[in-house]
Amino acid sequence: MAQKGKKRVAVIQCNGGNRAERVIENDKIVGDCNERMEQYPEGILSCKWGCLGGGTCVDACKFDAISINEYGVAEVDREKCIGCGLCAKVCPKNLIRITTPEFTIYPACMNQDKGAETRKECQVGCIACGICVKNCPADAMKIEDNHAVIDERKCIACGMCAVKCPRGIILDADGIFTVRA
Amino acid sequence: MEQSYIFTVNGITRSTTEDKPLLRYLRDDLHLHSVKDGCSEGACGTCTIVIDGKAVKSCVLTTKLAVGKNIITTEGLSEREKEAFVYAFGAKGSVQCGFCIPGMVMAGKALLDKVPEPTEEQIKVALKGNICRCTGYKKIIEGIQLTAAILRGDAQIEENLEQGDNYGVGDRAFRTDVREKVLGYGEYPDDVEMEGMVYASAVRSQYARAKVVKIDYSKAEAVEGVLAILTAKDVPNNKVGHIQQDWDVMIAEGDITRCVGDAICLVVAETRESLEKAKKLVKIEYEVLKPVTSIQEAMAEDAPKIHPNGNLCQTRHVTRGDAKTALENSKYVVTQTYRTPFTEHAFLEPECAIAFPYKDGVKVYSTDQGVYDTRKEIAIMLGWEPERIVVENKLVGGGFGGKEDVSTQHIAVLAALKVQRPVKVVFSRQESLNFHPKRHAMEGTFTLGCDENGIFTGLSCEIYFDTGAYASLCGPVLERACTHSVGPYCYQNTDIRGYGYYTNNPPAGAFRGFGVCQSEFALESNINLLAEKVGISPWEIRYRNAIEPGKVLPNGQIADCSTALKETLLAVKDVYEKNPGRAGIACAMKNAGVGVGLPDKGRAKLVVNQGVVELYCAASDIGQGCATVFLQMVAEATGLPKSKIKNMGANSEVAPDSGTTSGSRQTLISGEAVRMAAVDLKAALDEVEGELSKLEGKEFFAEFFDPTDKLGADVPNPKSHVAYGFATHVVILDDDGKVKEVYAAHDSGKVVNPISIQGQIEGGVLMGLGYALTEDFPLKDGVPQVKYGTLGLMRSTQIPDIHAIYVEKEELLPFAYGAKGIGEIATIPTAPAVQGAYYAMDHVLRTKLPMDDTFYSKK
Repeated sequence: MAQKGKKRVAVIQCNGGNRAERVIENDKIVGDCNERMEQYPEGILSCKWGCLGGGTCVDACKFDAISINEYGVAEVDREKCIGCGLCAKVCPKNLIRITTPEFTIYPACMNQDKGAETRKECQVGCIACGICVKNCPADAMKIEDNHAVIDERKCIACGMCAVKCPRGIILDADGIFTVRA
Repeated sequence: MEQSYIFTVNGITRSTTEDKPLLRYLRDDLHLHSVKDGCSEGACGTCTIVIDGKAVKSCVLTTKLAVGKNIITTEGLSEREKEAFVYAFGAKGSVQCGFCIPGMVMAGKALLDKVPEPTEEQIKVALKGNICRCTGYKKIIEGIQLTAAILRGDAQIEENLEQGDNYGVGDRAFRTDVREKVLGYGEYPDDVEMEGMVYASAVRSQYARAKVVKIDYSKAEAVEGVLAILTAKDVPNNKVGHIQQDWDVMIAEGDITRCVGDAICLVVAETRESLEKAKKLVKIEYEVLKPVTSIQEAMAEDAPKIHPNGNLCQTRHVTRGDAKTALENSKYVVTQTYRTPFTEHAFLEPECAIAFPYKDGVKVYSTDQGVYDTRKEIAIMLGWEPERIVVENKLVGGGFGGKEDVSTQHIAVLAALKVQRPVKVVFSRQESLNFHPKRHAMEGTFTLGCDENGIFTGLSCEIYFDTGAYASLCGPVLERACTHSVGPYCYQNTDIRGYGYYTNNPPAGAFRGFGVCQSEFALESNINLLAEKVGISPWEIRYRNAIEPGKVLPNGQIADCSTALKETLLAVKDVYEKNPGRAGIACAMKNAGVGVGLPDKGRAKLVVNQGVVELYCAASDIGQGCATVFLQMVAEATGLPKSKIKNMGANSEVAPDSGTTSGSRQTLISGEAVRMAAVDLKAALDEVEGELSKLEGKEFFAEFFDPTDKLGADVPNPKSHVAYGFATHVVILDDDGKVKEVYAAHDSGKVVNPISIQGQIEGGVLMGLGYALTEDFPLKDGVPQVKYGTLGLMRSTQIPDIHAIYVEKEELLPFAYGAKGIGEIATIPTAPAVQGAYYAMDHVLRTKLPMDDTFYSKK
């Protein structure tokens, strides 16, 4: 079972999709993410940072490890993902980062608007309330650009932030601590 | 209709309507006490359980979030898994205090279920969320590897190892407490539930220094379930303290607090919930005052007096020869100032005690380092004859010096006497951090000289300790810092001035190393600078000056026959020299036994009862393993197997006082008393041709006392201590400055338990690495700015390869089979060795701990 080098895995930092306020109805949209951005330069969601659900990452993945889920958001299958990073390269919203599987807990929102704004824009948007920062036992959480950011050098993946997050935007890749999916 | 949360625990479907942390549900409702509460914050990992195949901290998850999930605790492991873990953890020495162990077992199980043959790296990652403060993780990793091999069928359980037919001194002895600690049925005080038991907790000061203007608990009193609220006026004598009674049990109205840990009132309630609710309703009006937060502020002429006699708590002046002249005439002299921080013990088990009315007094289930010490402090508080108070230790989940003072025990007694019911007091993790005494922060200026050959000529130094709000053990700790600031060498001119100042910081007291971690960091760092001036290596200068049998230590004591410092230096010579520019070295000595003229006695009693030899000796096993060591000594003397000897634990009602677990003394001082009693038993056994049954009811008592000279005794060669242990550590860095390896060579006399001593050394080294590199205890206005998870405790993924080496001289001391103990010394030379390694790498002298600009400090 010995592995050379550490296994890596992709993380999608948005969980909005249909739970975000839409500017353009989903059934009217076609094409991959880049085409969608060209077609609707003003955006298809009122959140400027969210996943477009166009599946550019899905197309880029050689391992069939990403799909667009029922909410219209990209989702990683950790069993299949090898963390090659191709998806991260092609995501026009820069929503995908690469980490190692031991870090199961991650904030899934990159919205930079103020909390009150974000609250209107998305049911699962980070409102920068800082409850995660307060409850993290390892001082691994901070608020940057109006959303929660995790410092994996400090994170011990205990899940406390996910459990305490009032918006359920901090997810657990294992699904145990995820408050709302 | 009320919502029900339904899930499966250890194969049984369970349902609750309460939404609360799963940890509380498992412990309080299902009484699954293997699930330990170490912090309730997600930081420590002691409450780790397996949920749907994943290792999860049960304090983080809630009953609501657990709906539909399959939960397993150690109680729910299969028999095969249980036996594999018990054997492997015992055989590898993975268990010390044991408080982290069930969590480690469950983290291990989750990994092994997925990966039957894990790499070392995979095990480290799996244990990353679980802190162990005793072992340094290495032995736990090895335990999980062996468990994996057994479960795969690649290794077999040796049945006779746990049985212990050969259990003598030096044998591979399976600790007596492995099974109960691995499976989690062993009882720490918080695991005890008693009929009619209620809870108490103190409301503590918000400010380090503030006048308590008014205490209004009328609203709290009205909370349903509140039984009593006590304040200072309910305490017969409102002062406790391990040596000096300067510590207010509670701060009275009109008085001034001395630190944030200070109790103001004590609430007693039927349930934890009503207790917490009531505590929040206590209104305290403060007049906030500017706290004294440093030694400099405490020394200032206009400084507020923290205690009636002023802020200078303790001083020591240790001299011999003429340091001034010696230094003036020295070829090379270095002077340097060093600073070290407060350090938190971070034992995994927070303080807890249960007190209940008993006979004509009170009994306490405790977790401490000396049941007779706890009894004494309570007796002083109550103004009672000590015998009316019985203190019995349950398992102790780590101490490291931090459980020498009373914390929960005395307030549990007050509450129990008030409500005449059993009362449990358990500290929250933050309460523990804020309350118990730390390792003293030090500022020290050291001047060391040598001749042209690097032979030391004299030492002059000033050591300033911040002892915080209370003395605790300031006197002896400061004294040990002074007497050991000379190092294990043989020069004769010393002038050492030590000062311990009160401040409004949390109190400081005993901590593994007992002041010596601080002073030897300074001394050993100076030695490297002298070596550079002389033009010889740091190894060479130490070897040239090293103490050896028959030579005279700087305090005048003649080194005894067992002294093997040179052997420890030789043991690491090659590895030191093979890593130029990357290796650091440091030596240390540490007393075994309290010494300095005090009546430091070991006592033990053996009783033959129903064909078993019962050992009574009130020596606290705080995880270091003395309970096993004593059994080994009985086995060695009598030839009896482990199954015929039983350690009855530390209980002041039945076991004789054998002193505090402090000063690395139990193996030697109590061990010798045990040996003496066992030798008497053996003689009696021989008379009845080895038939133990013929000695039924017989008792064998022994007391050991080897007198020492008090500090400054007017004799040519005062004997300060019964024995000293010696050590040399070599730390090797990689090119990034990360600690790659540590070689720790120790002379602790005869090794009684070869499995245990490795874990003691490895754990001590890791604690020393934390002290050097990652651990800190920042304060703001006297208030700790840390949580358990941010103390900087090293985690499993950060450990270097630690090599424990022990050397034994042919000729040993005539006590305790020649054993000298290992408790504290393992943690002393590591920090200066790390400093030396960095100095070798980049030639920057780092004079402050934790060190700046290292691989570990980079943000």
